[in-house]
Amino acid sequence: MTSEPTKAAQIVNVALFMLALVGLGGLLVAEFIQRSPTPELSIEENRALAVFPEPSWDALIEGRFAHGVDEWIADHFPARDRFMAANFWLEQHRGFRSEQAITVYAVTIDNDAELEPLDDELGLDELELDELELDELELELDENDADADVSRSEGILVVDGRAMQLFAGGPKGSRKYAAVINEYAEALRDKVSIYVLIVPTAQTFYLPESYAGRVRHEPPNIAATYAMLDSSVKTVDVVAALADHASEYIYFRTDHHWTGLGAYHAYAGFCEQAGFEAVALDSMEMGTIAPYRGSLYRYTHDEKLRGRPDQVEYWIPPVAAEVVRVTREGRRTLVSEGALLRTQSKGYGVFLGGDQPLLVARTGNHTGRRALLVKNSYGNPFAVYLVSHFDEVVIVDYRKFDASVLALIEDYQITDLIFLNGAITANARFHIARLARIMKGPKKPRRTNE
Amino acid sequence: MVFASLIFLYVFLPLQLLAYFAARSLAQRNALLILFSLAFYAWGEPIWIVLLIGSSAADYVHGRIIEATRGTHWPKLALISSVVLNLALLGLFKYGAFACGVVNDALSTSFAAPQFALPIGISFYTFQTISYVVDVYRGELPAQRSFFKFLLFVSLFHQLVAGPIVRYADIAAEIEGRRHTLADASAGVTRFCVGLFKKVCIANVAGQLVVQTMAKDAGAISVAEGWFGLLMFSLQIYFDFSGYSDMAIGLGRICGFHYHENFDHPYVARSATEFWRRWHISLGSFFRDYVYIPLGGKQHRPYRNLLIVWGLTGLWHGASWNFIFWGLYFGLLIALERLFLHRLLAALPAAISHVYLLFAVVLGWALFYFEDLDRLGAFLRLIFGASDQPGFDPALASMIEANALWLGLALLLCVPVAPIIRARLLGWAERGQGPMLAGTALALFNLALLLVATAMLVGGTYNPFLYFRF
Repeated sequence: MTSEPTKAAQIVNVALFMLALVGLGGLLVAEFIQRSPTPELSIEENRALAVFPEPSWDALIEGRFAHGVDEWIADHFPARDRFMAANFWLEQHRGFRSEQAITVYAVTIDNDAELEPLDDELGLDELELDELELDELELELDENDADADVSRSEGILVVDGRAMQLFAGGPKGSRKYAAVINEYAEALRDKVSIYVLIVPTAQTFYLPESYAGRVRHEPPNIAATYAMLDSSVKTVDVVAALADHASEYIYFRTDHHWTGLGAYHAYAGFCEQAGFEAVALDSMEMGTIAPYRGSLYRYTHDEKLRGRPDQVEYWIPPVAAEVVRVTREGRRTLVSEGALLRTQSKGYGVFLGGDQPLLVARTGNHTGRRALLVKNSYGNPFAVYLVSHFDEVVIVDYRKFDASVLALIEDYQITDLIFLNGAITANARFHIARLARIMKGPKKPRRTNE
Repeated sequence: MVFASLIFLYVFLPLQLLAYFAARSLAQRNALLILFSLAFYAWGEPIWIVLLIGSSAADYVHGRIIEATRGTHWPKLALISSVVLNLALLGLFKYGAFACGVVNDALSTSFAAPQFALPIGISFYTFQTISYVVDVYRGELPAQRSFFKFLLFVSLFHQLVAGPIVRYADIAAEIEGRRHTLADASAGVTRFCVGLFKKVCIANVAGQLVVQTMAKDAGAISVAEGWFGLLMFSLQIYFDFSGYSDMAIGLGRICGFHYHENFDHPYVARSATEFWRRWHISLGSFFRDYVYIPLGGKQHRPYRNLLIVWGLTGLWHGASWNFIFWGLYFGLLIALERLFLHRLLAALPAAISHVYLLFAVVLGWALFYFEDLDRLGAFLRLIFGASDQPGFDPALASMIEANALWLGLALLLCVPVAPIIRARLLGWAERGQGPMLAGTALALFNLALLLVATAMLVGGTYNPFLYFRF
């Protein structure tokens, strides 16, 4: 009985191995030779792919060149998409998953980020990256607070074909957020009505009972934040507004956002506070975009999520609005056409066409009221409903806008200032700092004394 | 650089193998190996290449001095000097902070430790060079006259970063002259692919499961999750380490080197003594030959010797008290086995000793994992039911279910299945299915291992952002 493979078998073994190594290695070299000098974008991963590093003596010695090459190879490996797909398939088939199975993906979603998913054709040069000087944040940090500084949500839980981010906010976040809003309240006392909406994530309504003891909860956090707000600030209990409708399609299953329907119910709650009668949902024309597989699918590649994609439903308000988009290029202000609903979009970007620093919607209303909404991406579907009630709706994405909200309020003669945050970002250090910064805008550069 | 990376597999390795086999003479091949090995090391640690070369040069010189001055008192001095230098190097880089901490705690001082990043592989190559100098001193082998051949021994990328600890005596002959056979190349390829699979597809996955259980705060997980996590860590550390050794041995074999086995299915052992003859064999034998036996071994104060050896073994693994306790824990078990436990276990059914060993080893990994003694205490209280945490959690059931196939494979690979598979494959060839078919099956099997591991390495580069990042 032979105990070794035959010579022929050995040759095939070695040959196939070398073929694989040299083949893929060769393709990698070909990629390198054909590399483009400008960064390429990955829609799937929502980022720019790595660029091959510049070789320099310093970079070599400090190991930065090696690190840069490793990153470049990671992003440009031949047949990367196919290998990636194979990897996700393997991950999902390491065992068995039932519908009731709770899967937690230990993915860290960094909420300290700046901009919204690249859904549409915005080029790289349109996006600005501003520097944030955190020491300008005039808040008192409580050194004795044992609650860790939260800016990351702790994983994604998938159950019943639905994904949700797990909440990780706490008292420190509540205090900081409330402190910033109160600064606005102080500055605008008796001049402008201020409203705050903090929106819970899907966790609040869909977390399995068995997991309830293992996460922090949003309703008490939101309530704590509201309780610390100035008495002049009107708060909207979004949790209550949504709770009655939890069985409806108010959250996406594959994305971290709420749906147009979820935003509608919050809008109805807002109308109560603002003294409006909400436009009835069935009186509005509706559109659907399908299929949509959102951010949480992209993070997890969960099979159950892939099998049941979402659809994006939007309702068109009965009031027409002319929307302009205002951007800054150096000292020049550019005004271009914007949209309330960008129906050619393939997903969540239908709402406001994605995230713009500043959008101004002018309606034909004569209510004498003009609103300014300070929001992140959670505010997009909500913003759409506002045009039914105001003469003008100014929409500011605090992550991209870098001038002064107080100045805007003056310029546009705003009567109602609305803040809208998801609960996670209302506890996130970066987001709170941005809200503080844009109140008066960036400080002028200091003159040095030397 | 590490083996389980895309750059190693598809840039470094094909270049190295092509260059190596394109070269015709042994001198050229040795030179290429040195160059590639230094490049391999410098890729990750550009600065510390100086330390590696310097340390090699120092021990090369010491070896030659010992040989040149035999019969005088110089060899002893050179030996002491070499050992002191090597241990000082290791002490400074690896144990500086720990030593300062111990001294500060004991004497209420406040020395500040010099902050150095730990040069990769320093624990391995210092031990290799110590073993060389000691062996030369003992007259067991002649000193290497060529600095380059000595440098080859120290820097050889196969075993530089993660072992096995290769003794100079074991490859001295092969450095001077080795045969490159097809059988070795093929066996090396197979061994390498298996090792890669173990590391990427078993160890890394186990690592993910550790992160989701044991790595969490002991106050946030159930008892069952604690045990499951510990089990996963036991799998992770075995497959990571043994996978690496497999890759090293496989790569060596392709180039005509025959390193000794470093792991022999340690989880089938029936006693701690046997376990340590199957786990990290090269380390165990190092401590046996260079510490235990010189101290007197079994003959002269064996229990004191055990204490010292196992304390040092623990310390070698990490600069922290928990590692020392881990080492002493095994020292204690081995002493107990020697005293009476062996006889007791021999009288009982084999299954019982298996269970005893598995329990002891798995528990030992808890000591190994937690450097923070408070966390260790909390974890031990958790798994032994002395905390307020619930016994079980439905999320764990989902996790085990979702990984059931992988878990089955991992457990299966803990026992010696490879010989059985080989025998089946080749017996199949014998029975007229054609040796070519069986050989192709082997080649395709290895290719599959390689590609699956590659897919998972590529998957590891997936880095999405919620919001656009550029």
